Amino acid sequence: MNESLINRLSGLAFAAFGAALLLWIIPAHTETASYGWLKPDTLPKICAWALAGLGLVQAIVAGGKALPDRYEFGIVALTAAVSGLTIWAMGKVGFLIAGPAFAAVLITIIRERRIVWIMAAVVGAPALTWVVVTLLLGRPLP
Amino acid sequence: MPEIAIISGGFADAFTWVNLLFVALGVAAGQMVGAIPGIGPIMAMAIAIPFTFVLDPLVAISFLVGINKGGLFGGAIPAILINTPGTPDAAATTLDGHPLAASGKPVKATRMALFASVTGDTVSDIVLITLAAPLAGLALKMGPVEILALMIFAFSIISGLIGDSLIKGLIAAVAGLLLATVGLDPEHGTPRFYFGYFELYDGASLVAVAIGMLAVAEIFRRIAAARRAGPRPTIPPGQGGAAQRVSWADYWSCRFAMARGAAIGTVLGAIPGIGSTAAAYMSYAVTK
Repeated sequence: MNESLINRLSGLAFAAFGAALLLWIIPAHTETASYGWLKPDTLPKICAWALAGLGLVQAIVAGGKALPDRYEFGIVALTAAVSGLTIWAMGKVGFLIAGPAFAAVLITIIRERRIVWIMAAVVGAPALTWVVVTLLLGRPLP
Repeated sequence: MPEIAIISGGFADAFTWVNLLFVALGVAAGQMVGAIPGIGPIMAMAIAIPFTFVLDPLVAISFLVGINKGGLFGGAIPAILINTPGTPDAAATTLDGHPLAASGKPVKATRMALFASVTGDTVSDIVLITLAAPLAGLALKMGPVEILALMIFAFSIISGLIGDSLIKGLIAAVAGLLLATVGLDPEHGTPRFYFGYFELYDGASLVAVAIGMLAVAEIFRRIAAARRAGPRPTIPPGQGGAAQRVSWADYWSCRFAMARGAAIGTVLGAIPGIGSTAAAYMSYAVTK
C-alpha cells in the first residue's frame, strides 16, 4: 500500500464517518428542540458536513505524509486493540489486574529485555499509579 | 495608574522570609504535580487548601500561587521529555520542545521553557499591577462575536501551520470541535453524545483528551519506531555541559518570541472563555 492510497483511504474513512454522523449518530444521540436558532444538533451537523466534505477532498487530493510500513501499521493496530481490550478489562477485573497485564503485553510488543525496565513497567508504574491516585488523591481507580 | 505607595506597601508585605519560603515550597510542589500528566496545578491547589487553613492569609495565598506557577511550568517537563503535556497549557510546548529534546538537548529545552515561562509570567504580573483596570475594560468589551472570531482565527492558523497537509489540519480541527459538542448543550441544556455515560454530561475532559491525543499517539509512534533508531531524548555521550546551557545569546535571540507570547497571553488571558491553552497555540502560530 503506497502513501497516496493510504491518504485516499483515510479521507474516505472520514467522509464515511461524517455521513454516519449525519444519518445515524446525530439523530440518535441529540435531542430535538422546536425553538432557538442554535439547536442541539446544529453544531454537530456543521461538523459532520465539514468532515464529510473534507474527507472527500482528502480522498481526491491525497496529500500529506502517511505511514506506509505494513509492519509498523500492524504494531500500531495491535497496540490500539490491546489498549481497547485493557480499558474493557479494567471495568471487569479492575485496574490492579488489568494494569500490570497491559504493561506486560506492551513490554513484550516493544521487545524489552532489560529486567529492571520490565519490573519498572509491570510492577512499578501500576503501583505508583495506584499509590498516587487511590492513596494520595483518594480517587477510585476502575 | 496605580499609586506607588500601594505597590511598595504590597512588596513590603510580600517579601518576608516566611512568604518567600512558602512560595519556594509551593513552586517545588507545583512543579512535581504539574509534571504528572492528568493531575495539574488546579488539583494540587485543591489538595493544598486544607493545609492553608492554619496559615496566615498572605502566606497561604503565596503558597497557592507558588503551586499554580510551579505547576504551569511543571507541565512543560513531560511535554518536552516524553511529548506528553503535564497540563493542557503545555500542549503547545510539545511541538518544538520535544524535537529539541530528541535532538540531544533535553536539559537545554527544559531550561529554555523555564526561562520563557518566568519571563512571560513576570511581564504579565507587571501588566496586571499597572494596567489591570484598562485591560479589564477591554476584556469586558469582548462579546461572544469577538470571542468566536478569535477562536476561528486560532483554528485557521493552527490548521494551516501544524502538520504537512492543510486538509488534515482542518479535519483535526473539525474533529476537535465535534468532540467539544459532547455533553450538555449550553443553549437548551439537553445532553448530546453521552451514549448512556452520565460522566459525559460535563463533556470530554480536556486533560483526558490531551493525554489521549498526545500521549497515546506518542506511545504508538514509539512502539512503531522501536525497531528503528527513533529519536529519544537522551544526552549524547561526550556532549559537554555548554551544549545544555542556555546562554544569554540564546535567551536574547528569543526576546521577540517571548514578547509576542507574553503580549498574546496577557491579552487573551484577560478575556473570559478563551483560556491559556488557546493563547499558547495562538502565540506559537504567530511566532511560527
